[in-house]
Amino acid sequence: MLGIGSSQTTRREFESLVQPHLDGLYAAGLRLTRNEGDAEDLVQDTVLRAYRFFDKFERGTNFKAWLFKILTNTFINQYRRSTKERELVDGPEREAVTARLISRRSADQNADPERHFIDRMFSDDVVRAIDELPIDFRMVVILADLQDFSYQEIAAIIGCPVGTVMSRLFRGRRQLEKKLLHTAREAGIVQTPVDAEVEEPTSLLEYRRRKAAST
Amino acid sequence: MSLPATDRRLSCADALPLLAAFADGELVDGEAEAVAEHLDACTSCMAEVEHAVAFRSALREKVRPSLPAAPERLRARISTGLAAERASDNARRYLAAFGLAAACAAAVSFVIVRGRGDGGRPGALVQDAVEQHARQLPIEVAGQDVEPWFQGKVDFHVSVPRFRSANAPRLVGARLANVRERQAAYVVYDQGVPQRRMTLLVYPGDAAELRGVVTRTASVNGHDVMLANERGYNVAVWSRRGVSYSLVSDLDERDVLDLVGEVEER
Repeated sequence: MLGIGSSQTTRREFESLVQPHLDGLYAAGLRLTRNEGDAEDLVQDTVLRAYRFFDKFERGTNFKAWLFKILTNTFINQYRRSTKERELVDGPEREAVTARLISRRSADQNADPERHFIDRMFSDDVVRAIDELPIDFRMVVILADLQDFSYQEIAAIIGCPVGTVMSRLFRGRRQLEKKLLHTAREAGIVQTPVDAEVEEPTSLLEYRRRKAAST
Repeated sequence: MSLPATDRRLSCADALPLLAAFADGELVDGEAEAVAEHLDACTSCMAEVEHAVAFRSALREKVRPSLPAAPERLRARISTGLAAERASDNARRYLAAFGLAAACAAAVSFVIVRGRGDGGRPGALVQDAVEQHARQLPIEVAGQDVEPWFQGKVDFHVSVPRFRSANAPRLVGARLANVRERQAAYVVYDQGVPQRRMTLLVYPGDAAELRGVVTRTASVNGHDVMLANERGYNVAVWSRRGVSYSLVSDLDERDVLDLVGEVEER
């Protein structure tokens, strides 16, 4: 009569929705905060805030994306204050050079074209390289490559246009690969120097615009 | 009459900007087919795509297994935290049944504590403020002018902060509250939005002893404001003329500090 039972149902519903995502939240939190204690605090704060705002969640829509949006907002709000000036990663710096790197790349693949040199690295080194990315790159790489969100979902989660997501992802991955290549070269895993520029994929949007205009 | 296949084919210049999205599976409609068709005929673009796919899958294979699962203690903390939230949730529904929810929803409550300041653990004031905030008790006096009501009920002068801007929380009412066996004043604000609640704990004394537990200090209108996090709430603490204030809310730090900046000097 007082509706207290329905409150328990809501909590149970919430907990069952959150449960499968706790590991993912913690893993992402760890890469964002780079500290176990902070990651735990971040995830706890995130889940409590999500519970408080659960009324606002539209049942049947993308719960995981909604949850990760709260995670990234909470992170930006509470934990980024301790980092230095936000490293500028967006802006006019555009490598519009379309150069062929294929010949060098093919050489790099050497005997086994299916395998990537990352396979021969220590996971600690790879994780460290991710952690060393500027936060704007790191966040999209975490969401895309470690959590499998789509461009659209990532755009909704971090609150920016899809073009920005694509740009940051492209450049973040490339910076990551360069870093890893450097480490791999030092470890003797890779010999061939590889370096080239490829056109940024934000022209995908231009391509679509052109196509839409011509039909 | 349809065009010959060659006329519809993408050139390398067209295909290149699409390759990353193709590798990510983000192309839609005929785009993926058009790119696939190009790749059939172009070994360099194909190598590009293969590299992108290999990079991504190698990255995941290398990193994902080493990603740690959420520790047991974290799961336990979350369960405990949710249970505490649930308790206040029940209180809210109980009150809703008696038509008192309007006073408590979207509340900004000021808890004014009489005492020598907290002689115990510095963090206690942060925790007390959050505790009071979460309990959402009904108001005992309604209206804008609550200071006279406190006279004779608490033995210190209650000065209730008011906010300048038009869409700032509006004072709705107040009550007495008990914080660590001391009489406190608890003032409720309504922001008109159900999810927006704030609690301000006001007590005589300097909040300097909190410096050890707050996460950072900001400056608002020339005054130090200390910030802490507890149970997902942002807590802002500051002192003015021998009285200290603890503001608990779901608001972002930026919004909290803006609000603190609006408090009228009285």
